[in-house]
Amino acid sequence: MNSRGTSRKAQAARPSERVIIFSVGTGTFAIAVNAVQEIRSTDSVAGSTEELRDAMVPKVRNMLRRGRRTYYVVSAGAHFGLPPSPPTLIFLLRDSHTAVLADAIERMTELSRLFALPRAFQGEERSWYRGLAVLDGRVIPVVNPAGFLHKGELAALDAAAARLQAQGVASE
Amino acid sequence: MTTLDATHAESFILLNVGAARFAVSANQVAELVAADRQHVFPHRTEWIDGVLLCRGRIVPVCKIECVLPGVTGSNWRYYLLGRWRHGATEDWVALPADGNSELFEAAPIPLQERRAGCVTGLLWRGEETVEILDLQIMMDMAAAQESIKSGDSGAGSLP
Repeated sequence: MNSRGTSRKAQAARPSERVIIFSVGTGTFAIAVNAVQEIRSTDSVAGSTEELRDAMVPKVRNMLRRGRRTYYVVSAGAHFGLPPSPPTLIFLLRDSHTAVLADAIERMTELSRLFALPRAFQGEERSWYRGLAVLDGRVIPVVNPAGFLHKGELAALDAAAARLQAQGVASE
Repeated sequence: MTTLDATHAESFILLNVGAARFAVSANQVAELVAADRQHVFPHRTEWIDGVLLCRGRIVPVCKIECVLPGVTGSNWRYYLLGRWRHGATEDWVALPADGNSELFEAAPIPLQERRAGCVTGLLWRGEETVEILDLQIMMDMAAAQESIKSGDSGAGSLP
C-alpha cells in the first residue's frame, strides 16, 4: 500500500468525537456532544427555576427542576472568570446535577485530536479542561463536564437546596 | 579567546527582552519563531499569557513581567521556544523577544554567588557583559510560585 493509502487508513482509524462549539462572553469552548443531555433557551426554563440563597457558590444562583432531577445552574462566565454577558442557552449535562449557562452555539463538529493541556498550566484550568482542540487554526479548550462543580461546591448546593425545600414544606 | 576558554566554550542564543539582554544556552533552545497569532483562553496560571500553535504543538507563552521581574516589553518580534523538564516530561515554553537574536560561542563565567532569580552566569562579549538565563530554573521558579498559590486557593477536588 502506498504511503497516501496508509495515511488515509490511519486517519480513518483515528477515533473522533463530536463536539459542540459554544461561546461565553469573549471565550469559545467545546464540549462533547455525549456530555450534554439537553439544550434549552433560558426563556423556556425561566418558570422552572428557583433561586438559591446562601449557597456560598457565587457562580450558581439558581436551581432547575426537570422531572425528578435537580440541576444547579452554573454561570459559565463566572466559572471561567469572564466579563458578564447575557446567556441565552442552558446546557443540561448528562448524568449530572450541573446545568451550564452559555451565550450561543457556534456549530457542531468532529474532533479527531485532543491535545493534552501543557504541563505548564497548573491552576484550576487543569480541572476545567479535558484538553485543547485545534479547529480552523484556532486553539479551543474542551471543557471537562465534571469540572464545573467540585465536590465541596456540590455539597454546599445540596445543603442549600435541602434548606429551600424544608422552608417550602414549612410554609405549606 | 584562551585555550581554556576554547575548551569550555558553549553555544548561546543572545536575545533582547525589552531593555534587557540575555544569553540562553543553545541546548535549551528548540527554535526561534516569528511572532505569530497568540491564542488565549481562560486559565488561572498567572505567568502564562496565551499559547502558540507551532509545528503541531501547543506551546505556552510566558508573561515576561512574571518570569523576569523588572523586565517589560510589548513589541515582540519573535519567540524563543525553550525546552524544560517538568518531572519526567519535557515541555516547551515560548519566551517573547525583540531586537535581533545572535548565536554566540563563549566560555560561560559562573557566578561566585548565586544571584536571586534565574541568572546563573555571565558571558563576556567584547565590552559587553551578558547575563546567562537558565530556562529550566526560570520555569521551576514559576511553577513553584504557582504551586504555592494553588495551595493557598483551597481549590476542591472533583467528585
